[in-house]
Amino acid sequence: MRILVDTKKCSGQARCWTLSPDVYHLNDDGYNVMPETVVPASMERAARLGALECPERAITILDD
Amino acid sequence: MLDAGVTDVPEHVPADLVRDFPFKHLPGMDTDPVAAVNRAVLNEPDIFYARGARVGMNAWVLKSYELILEVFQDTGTFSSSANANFSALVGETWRALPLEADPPQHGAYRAILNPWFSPSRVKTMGEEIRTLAIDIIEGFKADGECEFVSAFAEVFPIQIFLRIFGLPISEARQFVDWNHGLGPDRSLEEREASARLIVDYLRETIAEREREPTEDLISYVLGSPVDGRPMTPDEKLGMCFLLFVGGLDTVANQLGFIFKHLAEHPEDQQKLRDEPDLISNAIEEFIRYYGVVNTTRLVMRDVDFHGVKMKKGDLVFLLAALSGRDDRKFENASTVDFSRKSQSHISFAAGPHRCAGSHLARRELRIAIEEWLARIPAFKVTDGRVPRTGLGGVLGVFELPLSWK
Repeated sequence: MRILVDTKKCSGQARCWTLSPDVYHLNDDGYNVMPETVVPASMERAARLGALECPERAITILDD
Repeated sequence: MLDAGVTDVPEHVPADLVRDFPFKHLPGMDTDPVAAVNRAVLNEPDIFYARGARVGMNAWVLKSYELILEVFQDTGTFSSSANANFSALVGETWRALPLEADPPQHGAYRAILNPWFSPSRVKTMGEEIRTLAIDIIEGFKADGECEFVSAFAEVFPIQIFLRIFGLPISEARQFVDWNHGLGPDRSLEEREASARLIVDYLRETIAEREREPTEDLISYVLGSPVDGRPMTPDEKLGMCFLLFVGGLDTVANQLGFIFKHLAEHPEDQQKLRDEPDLISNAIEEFIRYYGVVNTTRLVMRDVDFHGVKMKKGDLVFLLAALSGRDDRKFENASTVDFSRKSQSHISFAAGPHRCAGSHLARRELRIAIEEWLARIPAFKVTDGRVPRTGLGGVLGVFELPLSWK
């Protein structure tokens, strides 16, 4: 599956990384600057958890 | 009873949306400010025009999490430039930065602070923060009682902050008093005098650090370019002023609400003793439930905002106390549930101005709870005493007498 991050919306709330640190990575300033990441299906639950928690709604999960 | 000087309601505001909202004097502010705010808006529409929402000012108040989020994210329509207006108190015009800047200029100032308050940077401070918490707690443990605000809440976060910022801890009490003096609950004379004291002190410190830079945050700020050029004196003061006020009463009052809650809800206190793994989520829940910060946005263009006509120049008042208790977003919002799964509160705001100190705040709160529960037995509000709360610069706990065996 793919994780799309609208990096312009990321404000460094860091909820994605706090909940799912294996899936979401932040830069040194604490922001998610990776617009697209591919993750294995085994990480689906963690990916969705982090995405749902983003207060900025910056994260979209695509099943493909 | 409204403060003198509240302006008339402008023509474009429909009469049926106008409400008197004497924020400082809402019933219950002295015992439970977040509940008081929510009770006051219970039967109001999602968007209403509040007379007296800020000292001498009217503003639109939004009840809904969704609308508050939208305002935070729409920085083009809703500017942060009218947020604090501290400089006006000393007859000057600098902006508190990055707070009162909007994108795109905002990013350059914010970029200076980010590395200092990132999750990874904050992690490295953990040991120092914990040592400080332990020192303070061990200092009063044997007394079997303390007044939490003066003994811990106004000492712990402030000392951490002063160490990072680079101001002397010996002056902490004075800084706290000056900061209190700025609050909207004080007279104009006191606010002006307090602002003058802070500004003069900061200007002196800035001059010292420019002569002899150190490793502290002030020196780092002063030496940081903005858009490839050195900062102006106003920009330097604006950043230092914002850091000064930003670090002083927010975490202190969040601690106050958390420990008041634990003292008054022994079952919740015991739950965290029994299951310390819940502490991290409990902190998110407390930040949601006891949102202390209130912030203001300035409408930059005439806009139809969800059916309400707002005009350029209107103010919008955003309360974390309201976003956190919206039961359309949070099921059973008026219940504290340490196991709550969804914690996407916006008590640290949202959008570019998301609180820079949020990760440091979380770590301080976690360490405070961990060390209190480890070192102090079951504590409660002292018999015969009543905690006192109210409105300062943020929703506040002013006095919290605690006892334990």
